[in-house]
Amino acid sequence: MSWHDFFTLPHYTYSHNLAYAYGLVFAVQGGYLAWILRGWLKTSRKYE
Amino acid sequence: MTVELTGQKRSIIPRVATAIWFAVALAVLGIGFRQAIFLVPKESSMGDLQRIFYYHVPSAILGMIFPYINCAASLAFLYWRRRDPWKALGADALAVASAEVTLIFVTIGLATGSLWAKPAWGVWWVWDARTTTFLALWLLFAAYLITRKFAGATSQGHTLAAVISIFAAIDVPISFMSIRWWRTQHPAPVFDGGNLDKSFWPGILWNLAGWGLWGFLVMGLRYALERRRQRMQEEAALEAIEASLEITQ
Repeated sequence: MSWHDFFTLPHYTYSHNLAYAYGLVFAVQGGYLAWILRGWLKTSRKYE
Repeated sequence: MTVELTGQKRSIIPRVATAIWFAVALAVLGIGFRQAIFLVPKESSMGDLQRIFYYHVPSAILGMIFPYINCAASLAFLYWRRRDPWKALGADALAVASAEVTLIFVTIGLATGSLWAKPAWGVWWVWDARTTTFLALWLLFAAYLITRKFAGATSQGHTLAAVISIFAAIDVPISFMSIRWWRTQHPAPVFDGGNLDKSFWPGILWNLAGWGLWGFLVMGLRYALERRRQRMQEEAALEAIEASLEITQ
């Protein structure tokens, strides 16, 4: 599979669900890390 | 080597270790992504859609490992809450961190499974033993975090949440064994008794290692954040007591 195949997965066969799944994994995990870092920055300001 | 923070000297070693851990996790995840998309062969019956498994399976496995950290931390909290409050707070911080990481992995396991199921089975969801017990695990951890959220910093709320985590830990082996005990629509186990060809394993194993490293990293960061919040609450409470003593004098 190539990058071109990945981004041109045919919708009519539901193959684009692969792209949705991968997008969801990185969005959720990245979002959680960002939320933790936001909390860290907020408490750092209060600490100082 | 130390850095100055809030007037106290703190070691820089944890920060360096975290940065190294983060870099290793990203590298392993990069290898896992390359394996999953470019190197592992296309499965004959499902085609590229089967590549969802390389993220679904590791997330589901890790979603069954972190509940045990949560359960152990909750039991430690229940043991220490009257004996050693400071240790109990540490256990409580680990419990909330592991509960959130569990909920993240179980959410991804459920969502990616559903995205695979629609093309493969024709439906987004079936109420078979594995999916139902895994959904129960998600609901238990959602209940755990909601209980903590609405109970605030009260000891009763955290105690109730710790009890919920024990129920969640009981659900894990039932969910794990469900595809062995009962005839389910969910596919057979991957590693133990499954018939997955060896050529597909690198996609699963590299991502399992990568997301495992990632999971422990975010759990550690969340634990550190919770400990910092606990210290701030303690300092605020002490300041309030000192202020009230000054007023009475």
